[in-house]
Amino acid sequence: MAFQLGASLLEACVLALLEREDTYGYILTQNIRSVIEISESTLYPVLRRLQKEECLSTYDMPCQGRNRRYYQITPTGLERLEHYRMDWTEYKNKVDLVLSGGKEHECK
Amino acid sequence: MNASDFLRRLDAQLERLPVAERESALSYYRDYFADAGMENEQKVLEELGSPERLGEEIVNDYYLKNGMTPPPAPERRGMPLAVKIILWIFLGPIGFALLAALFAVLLGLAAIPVVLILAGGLYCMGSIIVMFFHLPTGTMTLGLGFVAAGLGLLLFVPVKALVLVTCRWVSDVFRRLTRKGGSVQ
Repeated sequence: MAFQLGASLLEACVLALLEREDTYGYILTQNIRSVIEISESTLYPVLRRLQKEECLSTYDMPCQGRNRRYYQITPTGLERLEHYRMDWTEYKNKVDLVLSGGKEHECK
Repeated sequence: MNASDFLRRLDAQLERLPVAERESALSYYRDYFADAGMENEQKVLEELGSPERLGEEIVNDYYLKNGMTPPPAPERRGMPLAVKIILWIFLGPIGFALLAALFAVLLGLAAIPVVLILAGGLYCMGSIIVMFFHLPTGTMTLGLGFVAAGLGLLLFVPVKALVLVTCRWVSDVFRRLTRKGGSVQ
């Protein structure tokens, strides 16, 4: 695959997944990896950033004798996600215009 | 390398971070390994790559995002390079001599079953001739031949195992030494 997810798109994907349900780092990574190739280490800085910017919060759930950290989207996060969705639609349309609609403008 | 090695090395890299950041990163990856499960540990380790590089990324991410410059990475093992070089120069020949001695011993050990089998075989073959001259001695020779060959065959498996284990141990030690003696990646 020639294209890579930039940092903003990754943030958007994380927020979108958290919008559906709270989850923890490992599952989040595996879910994204099922669609796009990212390294197992890619998500940590993204999650940390989103947490700092208060787009998500964390809570611990006891599980098999240890605590598992769950991530949860915040209202700020939901807002950010909406922005990303609009940006993405715009971006997608522009790229489509160039990639597929460009034939009419070819120079002879 | 296993998960706890990875986490230990990552921890060393993250010393430059404030305590909260460091704990957060470590617990994330500790949880990650735990959630991935033992069966996926190697796969995750491969994907994560070098803990030093990951630590560097995390540290850079933290400092640069806050508009600060990150402090330099900790030196592996805290030994200055000059000392490492001197140690290598002095211990190198000794290590090499020890290695040569070890292999000589291994070769000697390995020779035992081989020689026993060969000798046993020769005895058995020769015993036929001896039997023409003196039957009892011939049969004894045959018997000895079988004993020798049998002993050799018995010893073959454990000696081979010993040799393989020693070779693997040596390459393991060597790899660990060259890793520690190298510079930070």
